Amino acid sequence: MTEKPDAVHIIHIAAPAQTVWDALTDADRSASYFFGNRWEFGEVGGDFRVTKPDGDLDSEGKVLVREAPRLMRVTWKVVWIEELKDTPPGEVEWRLDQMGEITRLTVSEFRRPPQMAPYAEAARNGWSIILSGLKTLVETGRPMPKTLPEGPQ
Amino acid sequence: MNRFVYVTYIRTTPAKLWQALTQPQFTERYWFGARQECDWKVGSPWKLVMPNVGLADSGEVLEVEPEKKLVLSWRNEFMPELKAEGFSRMTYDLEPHGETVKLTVTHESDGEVFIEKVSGGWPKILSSLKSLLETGEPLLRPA
Repeated sequence: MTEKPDAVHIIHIAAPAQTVWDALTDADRSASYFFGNRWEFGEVGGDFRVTKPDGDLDSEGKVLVREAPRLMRVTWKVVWIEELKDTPPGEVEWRLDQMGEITRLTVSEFRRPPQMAPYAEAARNGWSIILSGLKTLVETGRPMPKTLPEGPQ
Repeated sequence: MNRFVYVTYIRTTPAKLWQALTQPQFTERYWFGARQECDWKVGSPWKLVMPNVGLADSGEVLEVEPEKKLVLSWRNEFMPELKAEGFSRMTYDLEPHGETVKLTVTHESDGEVFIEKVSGGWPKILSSLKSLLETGEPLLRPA
């Protein structure tokens, strides 16, 4: 596949791919690096859901690819922003490449709908917080102090 | 203009992060053994010396605001096709966020190949920097 992503976010983590995968797919732990949100991944064809700390739905989609501990891909539709209600979903892919004792995690955003353009900067910053927090959690065993995203909330 | 931007959040203080970015003994621990030579005054030369390479990059300090901002001009010195692209501009921005610091690295160049190269390098270097500050161990061992 040579599809060009709209955005790419990369971080290197001192842990085996399986350990990173486990932290990524554990909904309870996700809250500690996803500004209190939780994401839940079903099996292939099943649901992908992001819920806010108060339980409201943030985003939803379907799991397209789930190949532990290497690849996850979902459709992702933001549902909590009124203006984006009728926007088609984009896609997000997590790729884990273990290189010796280190895993490179690459998050790529595909098919970002044009309506999402004003949120691109906020999304990049959000992904930076998520990946920084995931790395801290995996490497130190405790969450990074809570950092809230900037920009449109 | 081609631009690479990388943002990472590190559990540290602006003072510690500033030291990490500017002290040669610290830098070489997370940066493939690369050693910076610079007195961090505006107008001073900046050099990056790498093991097995020698002078890898050079430039000049364009702006310094300790613990907040550093801007360098930056040219590759050991790969002819990169050197030919001339000087790029690299900016570190440090911004405290509670118990963490947001570090933004912005690297801009008219050259395409140079930006492609640094786009692969920065995530490794900055991931290693974050590990070293948070766990005491870098990701990268000196080459």
